[in-house]
Amino acid sequence: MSDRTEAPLCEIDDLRIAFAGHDGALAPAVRGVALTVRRGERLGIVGESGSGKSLTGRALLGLLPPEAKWSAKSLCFNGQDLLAMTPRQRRHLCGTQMSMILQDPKYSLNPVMTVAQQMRETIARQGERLSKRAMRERIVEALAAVHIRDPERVADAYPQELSGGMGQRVMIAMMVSAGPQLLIADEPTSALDVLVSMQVLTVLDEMIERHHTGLVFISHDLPLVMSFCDRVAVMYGGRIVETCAARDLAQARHPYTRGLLAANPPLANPPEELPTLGRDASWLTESFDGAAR
Amino acid sequence: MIEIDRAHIRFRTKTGHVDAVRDVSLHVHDGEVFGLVGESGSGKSTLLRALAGLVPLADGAMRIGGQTAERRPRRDVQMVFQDPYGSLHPRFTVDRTLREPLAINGIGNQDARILDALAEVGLGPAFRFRYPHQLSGGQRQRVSIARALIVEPRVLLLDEPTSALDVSVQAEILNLLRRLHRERKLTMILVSHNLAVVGFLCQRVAVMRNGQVVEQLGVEAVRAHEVAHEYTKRLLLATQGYTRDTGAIEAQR
Repeated sequence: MSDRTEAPLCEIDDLRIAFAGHDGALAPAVRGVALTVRRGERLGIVGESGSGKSLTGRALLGLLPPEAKWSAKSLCFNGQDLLAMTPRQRRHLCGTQMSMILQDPKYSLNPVMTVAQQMRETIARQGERLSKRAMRERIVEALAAVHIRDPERVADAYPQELSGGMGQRVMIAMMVSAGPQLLIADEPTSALDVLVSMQVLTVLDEMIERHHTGLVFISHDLPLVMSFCDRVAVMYGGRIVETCAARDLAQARHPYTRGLLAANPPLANPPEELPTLGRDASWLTESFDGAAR
Repeated sequence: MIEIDRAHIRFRTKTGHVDAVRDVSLHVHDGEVFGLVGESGSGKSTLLRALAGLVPLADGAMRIGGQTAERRPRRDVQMVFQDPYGSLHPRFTVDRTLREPLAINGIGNQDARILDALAEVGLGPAFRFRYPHQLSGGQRQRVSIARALIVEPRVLLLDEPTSALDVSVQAEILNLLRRLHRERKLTMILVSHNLAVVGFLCQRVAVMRNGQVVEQLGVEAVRAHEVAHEYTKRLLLATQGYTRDTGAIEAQR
């Protein structure tokens, strides 16, 4: 694991994102989020839809929609100040030092390019000049590394010819083969069924272990995050209400986290009725302490 | 109540055909909630659509309450789909969405029935004249359930009714379905890939793979992890979250 004394891989402080409504009033979506990710650490961000978890991930990469109004006190990555960078410099980081895996490979892969063509683009971004044959070898190697059995065939396939699990592996191969220092995975397995998503997670697990990548894993599946990540941040209404070690999540103290955990039907002895989440307005404003960091 | 006897469903493709459901026999009792689990492409949704009369059988027989699909009144079997964003007409208000099945089936006293149906799924009368885009995912799924229930079916088919929803909303919908089952004695078939959801609602479960039923078992056996088939064991293991060996990569596709 990472050394505690070294500087964090990335640091967000007081990130705020808002969108203008019909009447011009700003509706806040993320309100003062502070996060750090260490090298090789797996940080899970959980919360319901609309809690701002995806926006937080996108803000790190600089991929917020143009209409978003955002500000942050600091946004650092690998010792560089992202706020001081030009958009061009930030774009250059994407795909080389930081990358992202999205939810559904059906939409995140380009449907009119073969897998090899798309991977060529990503590999070319890393600045290496390779001969045609070396490039082909590199692509097939990267596909084989994510346990695709027939990489030659998959390389020449179009995304719609692949199953969901296969598509997501291609996505991982594309994003992780560069050895990025930070990977943001936004619900990488929500579109897949249970067993396939376990296989995809195994691949992801291996790849980030090999490259010592810092991972931000965005999900609404608490049990999954508990079993996959080192540390978990729980978001509600655009704020982080609680941060704790993943293995301690079952003993989480915040009523929102407890409510989310209880809403999962247990396999053994399910109750007559599942507890539903009562929401408290104070969660939006009050700071909660109690859980160990 | 539902008898499926050696059902076979075949789809034509450009180069030949694909057998989506092969030789499936199932019996679901009156008032029972029956679960169908399996991976995507295992034929569980196809089987459900065949029960609703949306897909023809290539071979075998399906009877609901003793009647085949052609002879049975359509309103007896209603379906709730996975994606509440795609299954409601975007330009119909909730009122019009609920009125249509009543008009099709020639049922009178429509206003009172619409209000009752809304109340039953936990939506107030204020929701009656809203459009789908003004509703959250959970509220839309409630409207879909109300639309299915308004014609008073005997069988409710649920195709992954909660997999597009957040856990907290999923809990509300599962509670609603459980209450409806208790109060109305409905027969339901629930398709899901989540064994915990199936375990919460169902009494019996069939596990499907590659178009075939590989195992049928009672829910107590699932809870006690007493399953015979290797595939069911892996599904059970996956409900406990990620471990380095659950994902064992042998089954590459």
